[in-house]
Amino acid sequence: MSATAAARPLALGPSLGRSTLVLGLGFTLVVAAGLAGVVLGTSGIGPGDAAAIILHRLTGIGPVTWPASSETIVWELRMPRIVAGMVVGAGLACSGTVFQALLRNPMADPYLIGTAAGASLGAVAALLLPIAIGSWLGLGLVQLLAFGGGLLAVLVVFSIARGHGGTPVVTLLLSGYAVSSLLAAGVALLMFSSGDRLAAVVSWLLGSLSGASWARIGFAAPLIVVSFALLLMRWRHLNALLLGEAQAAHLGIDVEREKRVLTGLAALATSAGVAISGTIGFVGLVVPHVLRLAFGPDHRLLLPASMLYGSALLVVADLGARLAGGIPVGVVTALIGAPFFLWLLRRSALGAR
Amino acid sequence: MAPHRVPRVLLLPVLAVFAAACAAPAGASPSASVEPTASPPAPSAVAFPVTVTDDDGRELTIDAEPQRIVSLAPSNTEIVCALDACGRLVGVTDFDDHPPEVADVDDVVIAATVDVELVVGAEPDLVLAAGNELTPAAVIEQLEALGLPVLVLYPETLDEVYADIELIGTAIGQTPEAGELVSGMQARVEAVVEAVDGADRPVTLYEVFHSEGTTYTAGEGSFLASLLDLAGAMPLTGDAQGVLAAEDLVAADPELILLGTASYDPTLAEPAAAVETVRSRAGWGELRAVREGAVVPYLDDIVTTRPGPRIVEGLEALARAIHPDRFE
Amino acid sequence: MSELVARLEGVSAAYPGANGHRPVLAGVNLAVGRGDVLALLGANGSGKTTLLGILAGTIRPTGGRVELLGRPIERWSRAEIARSVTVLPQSMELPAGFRVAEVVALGRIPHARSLFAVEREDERAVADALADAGAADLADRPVSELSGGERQRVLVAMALAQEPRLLLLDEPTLHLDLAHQLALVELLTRLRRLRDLTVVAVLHDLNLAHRLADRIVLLHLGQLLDAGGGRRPLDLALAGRAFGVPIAEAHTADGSRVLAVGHDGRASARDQE
Repeated sequence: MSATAAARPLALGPSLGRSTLVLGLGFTLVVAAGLAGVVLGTSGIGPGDAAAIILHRLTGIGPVTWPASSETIVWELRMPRIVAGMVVGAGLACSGTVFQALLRNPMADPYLIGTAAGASLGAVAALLLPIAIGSWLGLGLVQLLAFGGGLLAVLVVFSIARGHGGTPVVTLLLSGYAVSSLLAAGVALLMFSSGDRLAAVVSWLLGSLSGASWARIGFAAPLIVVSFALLLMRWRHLNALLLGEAQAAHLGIDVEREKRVLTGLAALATSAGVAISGTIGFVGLVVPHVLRLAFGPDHRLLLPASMLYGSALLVVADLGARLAGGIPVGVVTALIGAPFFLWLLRRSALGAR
Repeated sequence: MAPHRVPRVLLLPVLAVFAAACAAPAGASPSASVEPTASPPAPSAVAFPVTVTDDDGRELTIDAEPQRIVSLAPSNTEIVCALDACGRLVGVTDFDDHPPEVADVDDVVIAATVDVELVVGAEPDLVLAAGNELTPAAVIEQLEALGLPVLVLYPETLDEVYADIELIGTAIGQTPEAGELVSGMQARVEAVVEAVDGADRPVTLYEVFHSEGTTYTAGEGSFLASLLDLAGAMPLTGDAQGVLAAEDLVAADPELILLGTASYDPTLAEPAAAVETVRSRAGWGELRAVREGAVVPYLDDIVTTRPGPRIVEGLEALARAIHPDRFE
Repeated sequence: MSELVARLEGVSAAYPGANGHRPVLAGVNLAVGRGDVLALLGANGSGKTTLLGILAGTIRPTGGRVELLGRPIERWSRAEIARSVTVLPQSMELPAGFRVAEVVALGRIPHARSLFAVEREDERAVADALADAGAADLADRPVSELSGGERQRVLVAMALAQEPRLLLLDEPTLHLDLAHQLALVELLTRLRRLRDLTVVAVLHDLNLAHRLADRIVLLHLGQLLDAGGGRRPLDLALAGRAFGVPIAEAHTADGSRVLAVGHDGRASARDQE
């Protein structure tokens, strides 16, 4: 039969050591960002007190030596913001990774196929409706309509793009563009007639973690975590899709089904994130793209890495947003993301043979 | 930290002086000073707990007299100070400029953004917010979710200003002061109405803001329109948002144009320069008011930005600008 | 009697078109024996790719029976098919950022058993595939640094890593120069000695087909025609009919045999419909 294997063992993917390094670094960054976020803020609360407060809330240990207001600030204001930043950042980066593989386009982001436009229309409509439904599961009308709007838009985009032979990627992209444009026109119209509510609308569209609460995290986090877990289990399918749909089919992948499942899971994660924090840009585009350049396209490593580094990025961005006077975090991610991206492009353009 | 409690009986003459100082503008005007009454002061302890209903319809029960008040709008700050509770303020906005004492109070609203951490850190027992999204609804919700007592105020008429003053008075245990402040204001308004009674009502444009051919003025049925009316003018109004298109302005051809400060920087531009700017706008040169020199620059924007105790000052300034002959 | 790797009986296929269905294959019969190397030729649009797709299980015929390894193909799941059949693409841009070994390892996807781990089995298969394809020295090379010929070998390795019983090739020499075309043919010839491999290759070059294959079949008007090949003489008349041009055979001075388009005078391969 065939010759025996070479003496040296082959590396068929990122080595365990390398993966540990990459993910370990990511995890460290997340923890560091979280710590910085807890300790830093406009009210001066010492790191010792902040740590003690968290310890106390989690375990009940320790004499209470701090004022109640400090505890409220750390546990009810900063902690939810940090955790929400981690959750949403993870969800957006993870979803961006999947869309970049699915659409075979390293410039794809989680919003391309309608999630942002749909969620925006839902949220803006809710902001302008004179209906107060109070809260349901800790979510207001804005969160619910944003979530529903995002999912519904993706469903519409996908259905339009579906043909007899399946859903070609190019059609999906065009459909996403068209539907998003239509929905964005709706948002613009609503903004025009929003009167006094315009500031609230713009604030939501720019994306912000200032409304984070434990209840909202309780809604979004399970959805994002479950989506991530299910997506991670499909790492081989994602890798196969990198070879193109025809070849992936020859590897035994049911490509059309995969498109539906991957789109659905990624849209779920995106919509859950957008529902609680508005449309924060760049995280879903830059994080997977950069990680792929740095660590390779193997999704077994890329997906969890995206999650971790996306988390850290958003927490850091939110810290910057808070310290810069409470500006929307979407502005900060754009300010970080865009120049970094330009630098990368320039580097690759100069380095290309 | 408990404020120094001044015996009630000393407060009234202090308040009288304070009110007179606020109320009397430089130059002749119908003076209305508050007369110190002889009624005994009511100890505020019996007023609490008290339940009040704010402008959003929210019912709030205040158990004890608030000692740490956070104000999220300049008008609220001015009301609190006018009710002689300035010392109890622990958080204000960076737009607050009156009275001067508030400069020493920490800002919790910076560049129109409410910093919730700073609000919580100030440990308030009462938060006075502004309605109509001037304080974002999301922030109000968040503050309430954190257990802070919040009152939302948004007066759209003079009567509502009086009501809000009395509301705050009740909420912070300064009910008699509120009553007197309101009476004083009412008396001054009465005096203005009397002074302009019978005079011709000129069609008057109050320019709040002008940009790119669009003028922002008093909206139809707005607070500003009602003040212009009280001051003896026929207000030229825009649509519900106060937008007045150039054609409509020219068609209405106002007899008098009053310029607010929003479009101009009074520290840099001479009043005469502002009038020149107005004259040079497309179509404005032909207006009656411009040709006849009836353009009055730089009315303090109190009338649009401070629905509080000083609103009567603004009204008086309007009346003097519209009917100068009635105020010699 | 070698077992049959694939069998088609009366297979028809049609594509939905503007005026109803356009028939492509009409009652095709084909038996592919174990170890066969079959060359499939025909004019453009004759249905070669369709036939290949049917063998690969990615195209469903509108009529007839298809059997793979003795079992009707409808009973095979996609993943099962992928464990026995693979297609070598014409050319493909390999995803950037991978090294050769990692790309070849993608061929192991149909055989994946555990959720995350890479089995020893996979490592062995990849190593064997690289060795058999003559690409063992390329294992650690980033795929962006491969030459055309190297990329060809890597693609073959990826196909071999899938450990197929049936290897399908769709015009694999289309983008290759002469030297590389020959190299591929030699590689495939070597492979059938090294592995239990049955090959069906769609080719457009009659000479190459003759060099590579035991059997040459031609698709013409939706029908499959056996044109001989290998030890049996090549039916030039049939070939001429299938291609619509006269095919002539010549012998060169050094003994090579060349098939080429003939001239009218000599040819007897004029089809009359």
